[in-house]
Amino acid sequence: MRSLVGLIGANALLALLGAGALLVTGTWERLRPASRIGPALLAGFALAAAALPPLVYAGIAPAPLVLAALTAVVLVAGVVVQQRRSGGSPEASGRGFVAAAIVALLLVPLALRAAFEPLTKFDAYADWSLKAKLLYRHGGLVTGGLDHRALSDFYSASHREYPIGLPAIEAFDFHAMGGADAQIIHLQFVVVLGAFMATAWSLLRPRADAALLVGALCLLVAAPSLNTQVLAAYADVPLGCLWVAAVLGIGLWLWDGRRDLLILGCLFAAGALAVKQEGIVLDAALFAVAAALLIVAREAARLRPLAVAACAVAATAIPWQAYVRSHGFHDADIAPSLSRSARQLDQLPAIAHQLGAQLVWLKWPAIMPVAFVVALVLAVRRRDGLAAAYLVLLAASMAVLAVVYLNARVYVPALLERSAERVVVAPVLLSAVALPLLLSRLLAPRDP
Amino acid sequence: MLGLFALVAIWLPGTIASDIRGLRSALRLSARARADARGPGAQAATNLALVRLAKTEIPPGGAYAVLTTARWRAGHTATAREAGESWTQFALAPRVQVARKAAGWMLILDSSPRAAGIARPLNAWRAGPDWLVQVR
Repeated sequence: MRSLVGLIGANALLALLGAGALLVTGTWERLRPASRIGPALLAGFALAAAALPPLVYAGIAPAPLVLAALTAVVLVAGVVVQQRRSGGSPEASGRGFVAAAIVALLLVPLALRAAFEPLTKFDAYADWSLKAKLLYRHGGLVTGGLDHRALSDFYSASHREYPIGLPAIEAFDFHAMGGADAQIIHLQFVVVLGAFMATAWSLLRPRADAALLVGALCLLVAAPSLNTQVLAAYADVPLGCLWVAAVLGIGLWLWDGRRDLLILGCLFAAGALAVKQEGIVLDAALFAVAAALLIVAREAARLRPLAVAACAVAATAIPWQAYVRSHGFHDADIAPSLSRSARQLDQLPAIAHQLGAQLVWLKWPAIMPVAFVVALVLAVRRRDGLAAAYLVLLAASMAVLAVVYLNARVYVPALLERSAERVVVAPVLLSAVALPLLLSRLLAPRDP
Repeated sequence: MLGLFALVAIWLPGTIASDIRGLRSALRLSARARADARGPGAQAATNLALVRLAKTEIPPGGAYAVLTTARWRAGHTATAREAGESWTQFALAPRVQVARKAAGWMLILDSSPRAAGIARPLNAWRAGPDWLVQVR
C-alpha cells in the first residue's frame, strides 16, 4: 500500500510539473479544467524524462525533493508567463466525462494486473529497472545516483549507451514509494498510457467525432500487444505515447497555427528522445515530414519556427550524447554505418515483411490497416491533406525504423525476431489517434 | 462507426479475460515468490538461495564478483548465462558487480572456495552447489 500511495504521489508531482509546462506554453488556458489532467501528466512525464538525466550526470539525484524544486520553478515561470499573456478562449475539450469513464473503466483490469505483475522480462531487469534501482539506491535526498562501478563492462547488457530518462523517472518513483517495488512500478506504464489517451482526447475532441474518438481509444485498450508491452515495463510504450503526443502537438500547429501546440509538441518530442534511442529517428522523421508539408503548402515562413523547434529538441540530447561519448559507450546491436547498410540491403524485404506483419498482426486489432485504408480513400478520392500527411508520416516512421535495422551489427533476422513487435508501438499509436480524425472526415458530408 | 465498435467487441473480451487470468495467476503466488519471479533464462542460471544469502550478507553498496567454472558455463546457454547475470545484478542492486580483484565478496558458482583459489576466506556460506565468500 505504501508503494501505491508513493506512486500516486509521484504522479501527482509529475502532473504539477506538467501543469507548469502547460502554463508556460499557453495550452493551460486553452483547455477546460478536466481536459488539463491528461496533458499535464504526460507533459510532466516528458519534462522529467528530459530534465532529470542532465541533473543525474551532474551529480544530482532523481529524488522527490529535486523534482519538487524543478516543479516549483516551472510553476512559478508558468504563472508569470500566463499573467503577461492575454488568455485564450477554452475549447470544447472538457466534455466527455462519460467517455473518459468508459476508457478508464476498461483500463482497470490492466491496472490491477500491472500492480501484481512480477518483473520477468529481460530488458526490464537487465536494463531499465536495473538502472532505476541503481540510481535510486546510490542516490541520496538531493545528490548522488550514478556509481561509476555500475558503468563497467559487467553491465554491458544494461545498454549503458541508452538515454536514462525512463530509469530516472522510475528511480524517482522508487524514492516516492520508499523502496524499489518491482511490481507496482508496472503501474507507471499504465499511467503513461492513460495520460496519453487523455491527451489525445483533449487535443482531438474539438476536431473529431466524440464517439469515434472513444471507439479508437477503446480499440487501443483492447489491443493484446499493447497490454503485453505495458506489462513488460519496457520503454517502447512511453516512447510511442510521447512521440505520438509530439505528432499531435506539431500536427495541430501545422493545422491551425497555434504556437503553444508547437512548443508542447517539442516538449513531447524531447521526452521521446529522452526515453529511448529510437526517439532520434522518429523525431527526425516527424520534423522532416512537417517541413515537407510546409514546403508543399508553400508556407515557407513557418519553416523557421519549425527549424528552431527541431534544434531545441535536438539540443536536449546533447548532455546524453556527451556523457555516452565521454565514457566510450557503444551500442552492441546498432551503429550507424553507410557501408553496413549497403551490405545489408538484401535484408530489406525481410525487414519490411516482419515490420509490416507486426502492423497487421491480430494482436493489434486491425488499427493500422483500417486507418491506412481510410486514409488512402480520403487521399485518393478527396485529395485530403490530413490523410496524405498521415500516410507520409506512417511511411516515414516505418522507413526510419527499417533503416535502424539496416544498421544492425548483429544478425538482422534475430534482432527482428526479438524487437519487431515492440518497435511498431509508435506507428500503431499514430494510426490509433489518426483513425477518429480520418473517419470523422470520411463520414462528414462532402463540400459541394 | 459500427465497424469500429465491432472491432472493439471482438477483441476486448479476450484482452480483459487475459488480464484477469494474469492477475489471478500472479495472486496465486506469494508476495515473496512474485518478488523472486524471473524469466525462464534467468531461472536456469541463478541460484535463488545464493542470491537471498548475498542480499542478507553483502551490505548495500558492497562490491561482489561472480566466479564460474568451465563446467558451469558449459551447462548453461549463453542466453541463460546473460539472463542469470543480469537478474542477479538486478536482485542484488545497489550491490555492484566488479572484477575479482576489486571485490570484497565472491559468488562462486558450482565450485568450492578452495577450488576457486580462495584459501582463507573471512567468511563462507554454502547454498547448494554454490558458495558466498567474504574475502575482505
